[in-house]
Amino acid sequence: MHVLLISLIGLLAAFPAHGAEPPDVLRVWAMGFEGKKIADVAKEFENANDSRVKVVTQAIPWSGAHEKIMTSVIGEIPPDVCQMGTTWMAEFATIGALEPLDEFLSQSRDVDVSRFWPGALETNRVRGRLYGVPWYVDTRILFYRADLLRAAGFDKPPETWEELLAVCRKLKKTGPDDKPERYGIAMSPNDWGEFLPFFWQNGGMLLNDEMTAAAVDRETFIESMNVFKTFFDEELAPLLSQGAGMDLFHAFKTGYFPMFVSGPWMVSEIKTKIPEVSDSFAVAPRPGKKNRKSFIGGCNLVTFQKSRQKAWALKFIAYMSRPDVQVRWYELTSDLPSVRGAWDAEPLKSNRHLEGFHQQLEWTQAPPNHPSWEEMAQTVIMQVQEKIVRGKITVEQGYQELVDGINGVIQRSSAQQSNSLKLAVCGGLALLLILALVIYFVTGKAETAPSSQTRPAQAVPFLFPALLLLSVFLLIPIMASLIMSLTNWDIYSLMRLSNLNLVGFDNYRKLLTQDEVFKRSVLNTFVFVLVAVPLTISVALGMALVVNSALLKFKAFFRTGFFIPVITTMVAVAVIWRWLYNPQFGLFNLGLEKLGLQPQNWLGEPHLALPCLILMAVWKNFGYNMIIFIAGLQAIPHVLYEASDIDGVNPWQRFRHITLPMLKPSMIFVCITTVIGYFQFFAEPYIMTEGGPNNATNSIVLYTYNHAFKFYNMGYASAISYVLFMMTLVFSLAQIAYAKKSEA
Amino acid sequence: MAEVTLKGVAKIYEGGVQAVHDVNLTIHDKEFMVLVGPSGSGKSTVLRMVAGLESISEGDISIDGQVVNHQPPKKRDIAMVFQDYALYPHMNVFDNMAFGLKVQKYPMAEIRRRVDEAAAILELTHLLERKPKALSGGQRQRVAVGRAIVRKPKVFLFDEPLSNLDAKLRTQMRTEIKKIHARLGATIIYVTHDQVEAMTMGDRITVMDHGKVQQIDTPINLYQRPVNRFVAGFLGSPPMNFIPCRTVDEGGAIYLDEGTAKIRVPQKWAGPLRAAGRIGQEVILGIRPENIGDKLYVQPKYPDSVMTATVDVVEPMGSEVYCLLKSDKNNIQARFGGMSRVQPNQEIDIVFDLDAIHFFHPETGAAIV
Amino acid sequence: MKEETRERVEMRFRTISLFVFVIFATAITLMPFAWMISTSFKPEDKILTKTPDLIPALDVFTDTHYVKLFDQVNFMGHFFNSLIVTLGVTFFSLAVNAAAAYAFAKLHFPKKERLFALLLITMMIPMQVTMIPSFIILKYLGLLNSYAGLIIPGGASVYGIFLLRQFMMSIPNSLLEAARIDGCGEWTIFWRIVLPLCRPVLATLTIFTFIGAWNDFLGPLIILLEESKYTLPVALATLNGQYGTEWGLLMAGSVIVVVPVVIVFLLVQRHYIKGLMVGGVKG
Repeated sequence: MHVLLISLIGLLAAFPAHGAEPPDVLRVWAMGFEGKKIADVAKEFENANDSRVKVVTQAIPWSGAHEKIMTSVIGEIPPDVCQMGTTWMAEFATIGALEPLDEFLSQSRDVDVSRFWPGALETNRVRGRLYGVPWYVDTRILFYRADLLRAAGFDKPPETWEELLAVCRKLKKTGPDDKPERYGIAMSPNDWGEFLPFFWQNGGMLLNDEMTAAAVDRETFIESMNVFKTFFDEELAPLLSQGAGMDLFHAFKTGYFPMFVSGPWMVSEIKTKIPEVSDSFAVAPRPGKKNRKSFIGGCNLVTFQKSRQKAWALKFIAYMSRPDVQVRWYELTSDLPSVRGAWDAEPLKSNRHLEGFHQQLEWTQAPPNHPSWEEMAQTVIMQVQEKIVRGKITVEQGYQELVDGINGVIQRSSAQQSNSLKLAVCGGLALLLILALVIYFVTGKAETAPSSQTRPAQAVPFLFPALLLLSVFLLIPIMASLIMSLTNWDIYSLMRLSNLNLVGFDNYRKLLTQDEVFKRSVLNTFVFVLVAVPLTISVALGMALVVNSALLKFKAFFRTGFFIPVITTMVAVAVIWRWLYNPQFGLFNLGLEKLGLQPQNWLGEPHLALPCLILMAVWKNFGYNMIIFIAGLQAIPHVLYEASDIDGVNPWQRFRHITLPMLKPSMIFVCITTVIGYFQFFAEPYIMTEGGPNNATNSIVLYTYNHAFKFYNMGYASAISYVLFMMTLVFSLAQIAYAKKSEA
Repeated sequence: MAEVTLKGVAKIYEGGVQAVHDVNLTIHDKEFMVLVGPSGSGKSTVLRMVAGLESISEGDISIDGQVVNHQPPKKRDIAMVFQDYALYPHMNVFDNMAFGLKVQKYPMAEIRRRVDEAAAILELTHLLERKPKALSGGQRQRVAVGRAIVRKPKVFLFDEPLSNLDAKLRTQMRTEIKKIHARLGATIIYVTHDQVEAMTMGDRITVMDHGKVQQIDTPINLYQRPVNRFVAGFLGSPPMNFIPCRTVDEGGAIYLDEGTAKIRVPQKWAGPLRAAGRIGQEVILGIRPENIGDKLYVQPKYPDSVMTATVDVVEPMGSEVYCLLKSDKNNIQARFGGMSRVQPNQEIDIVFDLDAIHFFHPETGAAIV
Repeated sequence: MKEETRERVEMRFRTISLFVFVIFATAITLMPFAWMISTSFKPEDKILTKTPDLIPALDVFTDTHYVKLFDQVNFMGHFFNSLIVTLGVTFFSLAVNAAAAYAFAKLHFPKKERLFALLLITMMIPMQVTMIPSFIILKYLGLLNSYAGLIIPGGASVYGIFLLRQFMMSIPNSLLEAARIDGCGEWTIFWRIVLPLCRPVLATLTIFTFIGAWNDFLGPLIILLEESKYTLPVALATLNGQYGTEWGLLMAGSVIVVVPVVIVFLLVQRHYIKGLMVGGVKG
């Protein structure tokens, strides 16, 4: 009895005494691995502050982090402290989400801005003000196989462009039939991070100091680009459309790529994934010309204007930048400290592989802190780069395109419209849309009498829940986006709604007359729909018939097997298909070689990449439709087949005259939904090629996604999707009309 | 006591198409009423309006004196047997028959008792556990009937229940349904397009065409005294011959001029024809095939009731012979006794039984009586 | 007699060639799946081989990735979050969509065709442009950071309504009429006649909805504001670095996410019963 009593008292004692102030709650977001580890440091921070604050950390996956932060800002529920990639600073500062920290930094005794790497600190400066504090840094340096270089007669890594070219030329090996056996260096033709350092090292800059216009020096650009191009012209680097992915490790191990440029994480990646070379590889700062600048990235810590615990947030940010905490953080995560002092302490000091980074951090540059940087990089720089390398345009033409493109992105209509006018017009548009809906329902001929009459009132309870949900979560957003497509809703409108201007059909005009990338993505989407839809449907139907065949045993097993691609994680699918398409040792090329044919650079060649994705999409998606057909086949009365057996028809006739007509409801469904779904072709290029090479696999929805979530051109993105909508509609109507005609 | 009354009932669909016009009909208690007509005649629509499956555009339908226009089917206390049987595929025979009672929350014991009783009547007892797909067509049909029986409704509605069965089963089921009617003493409305079913089963028959009731009467009356050419032609197999003629008054005696032959009309027809103002005009002579005889075997009852025709097709049926004859102007179907030995292309004399002829107005089709 | 044996030989030949074809096809569809599983059991330094091997050699077999996964992620917690959300979405949406599909397929109300066409049209707008407006609506409804915020918007899907409607239309009207005469109201008909007859297609939609809700990444990520509420895919995604990939860990996570989907598929597919429908008119 008294045992119970004692434990009860003990239980009560476990609760905090009354009167103790509950601690403030500080919400901290960090990404991925950092998000997991930050909890440890946060504990130490709580202890250092006598538990007057409780830090709640939330790990945000890197994929989707951008969307997550953006929506939290729009929803006005941002965290108190957030990790922020250096290239995102400008956009979030511009939309007014971030709290400026100049005042705090100039007064704070805890933070001394001079102890950060200058390049890292600069990433926090947007239009002259500091919006964050560097947390950890990342810079790109040269990784090379010291053993291979030594064998080729180079005892030290290249330090200049000339030396780099010389090393590459020496390392490069070709076998019979000009088949490359070893390249000089792995480089991606369309990654801005590969080209821009050449430009910077030559003293080049992209924008003027006010960031109001392009300030690209012609000679500098041409000279840098010519060198960059040389690597591809002489086949010192492979023409891959995208980063080599996991193939890189294998290629580095075998020496196929003896050099590449990458960041600090790669050191441990190499050690764990290809331990065979952990002793023979080395790192060094990038070779240069006038200077040896490289890209600086990493992450900063910021707090938001709408954050609730700003005082604690600043304390936390200051705490994280203490040299001792930075060393502690390095020990936890291997993230490189942004504070110089931390580098002189152990264990960083004696790490052989860190030396190269330490040196490189003295020569760094960040891309311009312009809110539209992402758009500039993706729609201008990367396009120009790739077109030049692939010989579509000359370097001079590329220069002009670059300057025009950058200016085009920067310059926007600044005309202010009166708010009441905008409100009135938007309201009017909304009313017009509602009116259009009303007219849509009021007009139209009376419907043919149904064979069984139920009263309309009986249908209401069945319809109500679905219609209510669809109106709130589908119809209203769709109408909103339709209105949005008539505005210039962009990053500046997110900053202040009064910057939102009505532009009429400007977005559409620009889209249909000027936008080359859009035209290309329309073409790609059409090709995709026209080829992949019939393929997917016929494979699906064929497999459904096979699985349903009376001859087949273990039906459930095969049914599951064929459905597996649908549920296999896209990442795993991408890995395997990249391997299948690998130009060096992929299965497809192996087959071609066996047949005595020329191997192909499947995903790297513009005319091959789209067919490759089509094949993959068919493989991945046919299972969906197969299941629907299987369900449809169940609904065919068996007597029909019995009757046909008596009539002695052959299997083809049976399929043609019984199965196919009876499958009509499923067929109509599958056709319409597959067409609609494939018009929204997105996942395959997103994960496999990012739209490359040279936009050969860009799709309308991928393009929409980029404008909506990467460049914040919501107005433009909406316009794109309404053009897509019109095309889908026309296509589907034609389909329905055809179905009706064949019915008659 | 379950009397069904239709008063001025019409059905107009939303598009404006009128499927049923002004139907007035009373089905007496315990009566077996057949609605017959070609497809599109509106007979099924009438039945579905009685069932409550179709709304009533005009008029009133009452069951047991109570207007049921706005009552849902379940409140009308009716049962229906569908053309495709409409058995619930996912339920076995027992559940199919019990479903209606279960929905109406009858006690389980009562349900069991009623289903067993119906199954016994229909010889379904050994099939109660089967699913519909494991039944033959005739068995499904019986389950459909059984499902109606267990409900013990005031009125049974049958919508072409036998049209999916083969000929033999159909004859058999016809008898069974008649027996059930006799046994249950229920009011039945039975829709069919088959005039044989109508004639053999109905206490009374309503003939419909183009959404209108043409005639309501007992089978024998309909057969003998059709009110118009449609009814006359619809009932009877092979159907009645319609021969366009011109009436000629030759000194008080009325002749029918068929074109090749002249037939003298018995005196009793003179009055009606005259009253209808058809003397010296076109009329349609209607005569059933069985009222045409081969002169070799049949003595004419009236003078001038014989004409000559050529045999075109002969169809011996065993007990009788169907014979298609040709005059210069008309094709005439005749039904001779089994002993007839006519051959195609043979020229024979045929005798019209003038006691069994009908006259119809050539434009309106109405009978001249 | 001879004729018969020849026929039998032909039949056997057809069976065998079909079998060979199907096994070959299954091998192709299963390859990435097999790689995913085998990689999840391989040490990181044995993953990157020239050709991906699909069965891990026994001597390199390791469960470190799974151990690490369970160590770093509160697996059970996130698993139950996922289960709540996914089952919630699946049951709720099946109910809502089936009801609407019944109205569209079998009930009468004015402007039915037009309304349905409007619904189909909304499918043609990519969700990428409606996501932000939807998020703002959820915020105003106070549904952020709750499972309801994931379940309720997922409740109605035009795809689901369309799929079910297509199949419900093939149910003979006479069945419903028979039920009406048997004394059923529309709800009883829906529940006791229509739904049982739609079993194969309901099974299909269950699988699709389950997969969609279970794998949904962006939705839970944006709507849920506390890490403890994360669904499994979101929680597992936090293990990926910005650069570089721990393939073993990633694949172990993928396997864990996929297993429930496979189980659901296996459970549900027994509803594919042949010949459930007795013939309509010509039965």
